[in-house]
Amino acid sequence: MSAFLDALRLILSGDPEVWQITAVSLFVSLAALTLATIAGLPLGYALAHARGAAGRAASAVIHTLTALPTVVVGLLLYFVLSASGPLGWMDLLYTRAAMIVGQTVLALPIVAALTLVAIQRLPAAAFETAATLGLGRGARFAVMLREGRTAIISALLLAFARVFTELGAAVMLGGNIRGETRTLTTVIALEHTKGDDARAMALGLILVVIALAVNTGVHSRWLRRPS
Amino acid sequence: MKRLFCAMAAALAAVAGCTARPATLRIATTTSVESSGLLETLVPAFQKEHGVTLQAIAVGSGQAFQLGRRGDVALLLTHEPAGERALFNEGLVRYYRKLMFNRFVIAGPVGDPAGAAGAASASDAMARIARGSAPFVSRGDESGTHVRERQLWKSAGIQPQPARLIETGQGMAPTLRVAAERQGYVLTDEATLARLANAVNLRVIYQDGPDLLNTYAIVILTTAPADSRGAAETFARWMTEGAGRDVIDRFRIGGRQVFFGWPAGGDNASPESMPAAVRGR
Repeated sequence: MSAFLDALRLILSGDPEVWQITAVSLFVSLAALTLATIAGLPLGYALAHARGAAGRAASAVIHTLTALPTVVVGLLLYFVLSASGPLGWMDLLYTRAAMIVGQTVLALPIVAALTLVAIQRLPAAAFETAATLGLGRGARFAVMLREGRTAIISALLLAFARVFTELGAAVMLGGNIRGETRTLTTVIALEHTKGDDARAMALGLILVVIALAVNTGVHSRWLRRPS
Repeated sequence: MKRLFCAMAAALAAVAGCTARPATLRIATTTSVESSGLLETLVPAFQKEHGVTLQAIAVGSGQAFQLGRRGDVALLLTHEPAGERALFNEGLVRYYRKLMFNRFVIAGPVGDPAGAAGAASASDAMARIARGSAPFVSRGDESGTHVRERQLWKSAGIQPQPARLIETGQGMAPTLRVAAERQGYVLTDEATLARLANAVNLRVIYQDGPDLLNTYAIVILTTAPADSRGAAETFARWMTEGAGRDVIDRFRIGGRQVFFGWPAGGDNASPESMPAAVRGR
């Protein structure tokens, strides 16, 4: 209980490092979500229209990848980005950029798979209307995204929650370097091992509050059920 | 929806700026240097004097050797002489100096159910623990502490039953927490134990003899990234001969000195080097 009170005190005292860590967390996760969205929306759309055995196989793969364990993504990308790995020359390991890459890999299947489902669920009339209007490929994509927006926003929300709260890839690719690649999750783990439970708790509170606030905010703005 | 995309685009634009790095030196340190808090005092001191930002990855010595071999860090701060000797044998060592020392201690439940406190030596203490009924909590992670633990079991000639040997696979501090929760014995460096003294209900059971001496070394490998070799050597000299020594000797946890700079002029060039005057308690 005293750890909880110390945590509140720490948050209210405005410790600059706490906010710097929070900013790194938000920055990395939002950047990863952005990249995953840019790649995932068209990918999901394309998969929704892919026919035949190859299309079915690709859909199955993207759904399966939503379950990729974060530590496995961290481990595989470590070998790829390591100085003696294939992409070592990019000098990305233990930077925020490496964490963004890892979290993008985690978020992309969620965005793509749920976009695929959202578009598949649209009524056939939506596709027919788009076709009769003689819209080009890009315009049809935009119409489908608009029609499926509730499900798609909910997909983005889920992807954000996945990367914002994950620890495995963040610690293995970022290295938990102070002032550089420390995020809320990596510091919570570290401060607990150092025995500074008040600090761990304070950062945990911030993590929970942001995760819940983002969900509530997006939900009330875009996902509210019509009354 | 449009606004959501705008926010994301702004985040993406910021990504571009995140890869640029000022003068930095990336090193791997044993977890005790980080979790004791020593690292936090070294980083600003070195930055102030040399304008180079230290980026430290805190891992067990076994993993630190791997990061070094792969060229992912420029310098290692480890405490595992046998593993350091292996680096020499592989012909990978470019620079090697002993930096500081302290002690491993055998910690355990306040009541000492195995009666290890009255042992004649560290291996005798371990043998008593192996024959007793309380569990022993092991790092199990190829860290310097774990390697030392295995050496002690070997010289004790006996190990606890597997059911009473708990492997955490984690750093020193989480392992101490497990030991406290399970009321078991544990081999730990004295710095991490001092740092967690208020958080864990354990006491020092045994701490005498040369078997428990814990020596830390600075190692630069031939695989170190070429562009940070200069900074790595500057840091190594600062630590062993420069102002870094004073930072180490002045560092206290709860008023206690827990790291001791290597005696000046003493043999410090090989993994087997020992500080000339091993202090008593």
